[in-house]
Amino acid sequence: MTINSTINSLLEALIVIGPLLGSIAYVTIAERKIMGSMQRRIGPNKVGYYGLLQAFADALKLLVKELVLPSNTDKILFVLAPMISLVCGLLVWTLIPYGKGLVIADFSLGIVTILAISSVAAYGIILAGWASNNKYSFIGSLRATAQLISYEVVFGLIILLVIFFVGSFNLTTIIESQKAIWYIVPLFPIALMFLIAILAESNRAPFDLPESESELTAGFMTEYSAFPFVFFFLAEYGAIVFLSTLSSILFLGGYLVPGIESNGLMTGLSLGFKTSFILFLFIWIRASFPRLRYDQLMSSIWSKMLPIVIAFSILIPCIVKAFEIY
Amino acid sequence: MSAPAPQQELPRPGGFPEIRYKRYVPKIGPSGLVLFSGITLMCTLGLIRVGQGNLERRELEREKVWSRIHLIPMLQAEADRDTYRRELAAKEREAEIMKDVKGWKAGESVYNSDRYTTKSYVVVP
Amino acid sequence: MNSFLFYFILVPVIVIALLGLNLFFAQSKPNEEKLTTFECGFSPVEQARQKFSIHFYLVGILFLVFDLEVLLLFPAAVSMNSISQSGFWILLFFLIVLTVGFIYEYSSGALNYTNKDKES
Repeated sequence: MTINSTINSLLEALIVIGPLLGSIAYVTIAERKIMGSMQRRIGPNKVGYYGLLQAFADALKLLVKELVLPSNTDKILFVLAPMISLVCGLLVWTLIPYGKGLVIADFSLGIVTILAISSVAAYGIILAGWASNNKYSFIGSLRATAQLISYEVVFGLIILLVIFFVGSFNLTTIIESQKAIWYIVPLFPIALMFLIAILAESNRAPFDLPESESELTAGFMTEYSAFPFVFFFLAEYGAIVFLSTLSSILFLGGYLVPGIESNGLMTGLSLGFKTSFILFLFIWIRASFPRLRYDQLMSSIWSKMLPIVIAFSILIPCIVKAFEIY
Repeated sequence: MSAPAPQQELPRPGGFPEIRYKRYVPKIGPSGLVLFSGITLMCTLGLIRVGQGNLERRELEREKVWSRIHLIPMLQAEADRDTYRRELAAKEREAEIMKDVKGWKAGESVYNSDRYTTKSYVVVP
Repeated sequence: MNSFLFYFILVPVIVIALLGLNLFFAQSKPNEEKLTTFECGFSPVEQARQKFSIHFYLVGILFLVFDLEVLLLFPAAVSMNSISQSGFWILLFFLIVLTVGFIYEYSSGALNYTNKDKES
């Protein structure tokens, strides 16, 4: 255990978490400016050059706001809930590979760990709604949790369908096995359903009824004031970035650059490019579609998407076994 | 004094074109059957590529396993030679350090039989 | 002291440090109005923790069943090369049993009238 390897490990952890927090902040700016462009206006442009420091200005403003702990709330759970959301949202990033072998933790059960950790993030939402002693928060958090766990099922089943082709849970293996062809080509309908499922997983339009402002007064985030609110905000946008990265790993070939065999800069840029493309899709969809009503949302998962995904999950093992393409 | 002829804003001669107010969702693009067969074709070709890729991966894995099977005896022999040499050197160091202690046998086995056992720790000073 | 351990410690440390920074820099002047729960300007009417709809319980139970199904399918996905025909048929039987259950549930209407109140 030399001091050199310890510094190396610390640097590895820092070069993942530093740009990650920066990228979550810049996704908020990107969203505001892109939605502004889609609505024929420019987004925030006063703070830095072209408004690029807006997120930090927002964070500083929220830093000096008063942390209000309302009187009838469960104070410990009230502060703990956003911390659970943010910690779980940041912990999954250890498993994402930026190149062949360039992961913080090369678990052989990577995908299952990702599912597990992102399911724990639902606890933050439940606790937030329960601890803030507010009818609107409670109903908002129940709706958000019901939506989240409904789409977890489709999420897990689609990941399972990709794993049938790969034969291993390791994320690097999943990406390396897409050297033949990216999995969006054989699994195109499933990739579309995955994109819909991750829109719903991150409580994002058109599925954002739990946090819609007009109906439920900001949903489960009603009572949150300063940095706990920042934590929820960071957790939501962190989930968006993470789910974009996950979908580009599972379907778009991860860090692979078609035709170029390299490791390091090119692969990292490739992963970032694909993630940015899906992030743009997220923001584009938010600017284009109206919000779904809650029972439309629930029926679209249980009545419409789940039968198709179960049908595929019977079809794909049959194909894999029949043609011996495991 | 007479005011000039009042100028009104009138529609241009011929009126304006009809306003479309009814909901207009045209059926454009490829029909359902074309889309379905196109996507099925793309998925089939993709699955063929996946199958070829997986067979290739299987052969690569087989090559890796067989190369390990062939290489392990030579590598193990090298490691064994190194371990034994280090063990003898450690025994010499121990004899040098403990030469004044009465009744100390350097390299004495801790077990009751005199079977050769590989040491668990290899000291690399 | 590998990098995963550092990351695992660093993330809660950053979160707690941010919270501490907020508590350090912000003033704390609580008064009556700020501490009551938000109800769009009115004083809170009746208790906040009431009964909630049975629909959420039903969604939870359904999630439990289907998530356990997904969980039990995970080992099959990675071991298709070592289970021969018998393993495959067992997998297919499992899936078909669950599909029959899902068909029953779908047609019995448990998924249909989610959140549609018939009285209101």
